[in-house]
Amino acid sequence: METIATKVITPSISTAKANRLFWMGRYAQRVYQALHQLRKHFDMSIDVNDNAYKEFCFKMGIENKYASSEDFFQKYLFDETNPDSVINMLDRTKSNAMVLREEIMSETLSYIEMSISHINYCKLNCNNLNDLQPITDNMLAFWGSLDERILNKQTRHIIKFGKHLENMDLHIRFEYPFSRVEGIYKLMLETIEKECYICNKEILYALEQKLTPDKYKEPATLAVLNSLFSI
Amino acid sequence: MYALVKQKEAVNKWMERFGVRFGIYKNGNFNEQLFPFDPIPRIISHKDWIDIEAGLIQRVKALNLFLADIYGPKEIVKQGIIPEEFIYSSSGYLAQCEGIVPSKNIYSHISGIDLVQAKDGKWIVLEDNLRIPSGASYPMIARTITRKVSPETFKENAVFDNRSYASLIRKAMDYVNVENGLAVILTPGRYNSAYFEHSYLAEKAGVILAYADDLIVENDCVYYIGLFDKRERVGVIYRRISDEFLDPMTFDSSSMLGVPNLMQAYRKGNVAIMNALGNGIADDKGIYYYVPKMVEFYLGEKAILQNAPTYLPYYDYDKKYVLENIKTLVIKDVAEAGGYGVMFGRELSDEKLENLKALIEAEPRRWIAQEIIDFIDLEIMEGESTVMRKSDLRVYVISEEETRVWRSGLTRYTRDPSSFIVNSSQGGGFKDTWVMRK
Repeated sequence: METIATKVITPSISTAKANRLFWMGRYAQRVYQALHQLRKHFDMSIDVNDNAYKEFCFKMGIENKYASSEDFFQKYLFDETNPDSVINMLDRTKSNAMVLREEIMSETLSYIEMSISHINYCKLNCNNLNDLQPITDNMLAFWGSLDERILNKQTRHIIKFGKHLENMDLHIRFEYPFSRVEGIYKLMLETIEKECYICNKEILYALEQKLTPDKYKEPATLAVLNSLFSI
Repeated sequence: MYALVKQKEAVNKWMERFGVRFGIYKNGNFNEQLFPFDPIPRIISHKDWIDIEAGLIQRVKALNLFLADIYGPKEIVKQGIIPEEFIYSSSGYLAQCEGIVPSKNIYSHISGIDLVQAKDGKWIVLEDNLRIPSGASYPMIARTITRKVSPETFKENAVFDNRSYASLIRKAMDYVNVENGLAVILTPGRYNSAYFEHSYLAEKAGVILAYADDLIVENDCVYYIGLFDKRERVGVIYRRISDEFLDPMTFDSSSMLGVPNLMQAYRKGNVAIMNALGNGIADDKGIYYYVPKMVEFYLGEKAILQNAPTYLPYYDYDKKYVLENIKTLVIKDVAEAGGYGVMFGRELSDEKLENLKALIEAEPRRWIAQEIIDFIDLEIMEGESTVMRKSDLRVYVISEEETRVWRSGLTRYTRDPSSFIVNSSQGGGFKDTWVMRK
């Protein structure tokens, strides 16, 4: 395994921290994108396709273990025992974020805390996907706060590497146009090139070969993408 | 202050937003819960504070001199002020620290002194905490929040700002830092009851929050392991891990929380550890009895702050008194902490009292007895009304080039109306502590 470069390392980031920063970025983006896709599929289920949730599960790459559309929306959002659920994604974001408080600052972490409080409130009190909009707003504020407050470039880039990688993964899964996926790839590349140094050079090369309009939707592209992070 | 009380809900929302939590182990499970906050502050008058401050500076200076003496020449033992066996039988005494002189000769950099105010207004020291006193971050963040939600309260009341605590800690770390190395807070991890505090202080003090795996000792120096195995020398460790788990090569060999060979680096003077190892001898409940004597011995002064009237069954005349008056005393097991091992004689059945007396006879060194202080109750909000509850006050003393007292403190209160035990690990809540500027 070879890494792109090993210079300009900020000593305050240990391997364990880099790992957490990356995964915090991935899970936070997964929460945002999952809610976005849920809204789209929920809209379809209103009067177009009652089984839209099945398509969601298939594209997301998760098992369809749900009895109905209602069962899906309830369990996919709020069931803590369901490893795929949004409430679990938020918990994993928090698990990574809370041990990075000194890196990301309390103000940034607070958006995750508020999202968790809100989803727990909604679990008991809400019956409309629209009620989860504050979580989407919080996730956007979380990214804004990271941009505003984190001055350590390496920290920023590792988090953004995780965010863009997750975004790219979900855009491929949900079959967004190539130009969109390519745009996200370029954003991700910027984080890798700018003092991040935590990806495998050979795998990056392999990914570039897969990123063509005819190949980018292949499962192999996702497999390569998901093995890119390396420390 | 009424304006602040009206904002109770807003304060709690902010507490939740900042994740102000306290971890509790119950039935083997770890649960994090919001630390209950009461918006009515404890108010300490400027006049009272002047005495408290002077008394605490004096007390902590004496305790630091005691630690230097005990791990050095032991004059206080040689001169018969403290019996030898009180030192060597204490679980807080660490023979491994004999002869070690910490950076700048400071042992207790952060001392948490627990006080109560008796009904006659006198402040009394209940306990010294010189190992890892926790809790300062709670009033610090509470003040940050209460100033946001009720600025008029602080316009109308001349209260010392307490948000500088992290700067004081950082200054103490910088003062003892060896070779200008990295400054780190060493945490056992997120399942520690005070993890919020570790991470919050690291953020606010601008230091690295490190886990055991992040540190390595090589050639008797401590290094922080960065990405790609890059190492950087560590100059000071504010450890939030107990002595016995800090170095598996010297203490508990099963510890996964510590850094192997850390003691070796410390012994050679290549890293500062705050607070120093072995400080437990000075906050042993039995040694507490001798603190006023230490003040006289080391400083040649009378202690400004008094202890609660305390009896040591180790001395026959005290034992006789304790056994005869056990029903009116509070008995403490010196080996316990966190509010555990505390028994009120008046609450024990005859059978339990007899058992306790037998234990005191068998192991007199293990126990201390104190008169029950009728300390003042503080007003607590319960729903929309107020109730009176017992509370204590932990004040933090920072020792660096000078010894300073942080002008605030953690006021803990019991939520149980029948209880005198205010410890947060037993479900108590906290208040902000206002020290008045005039």
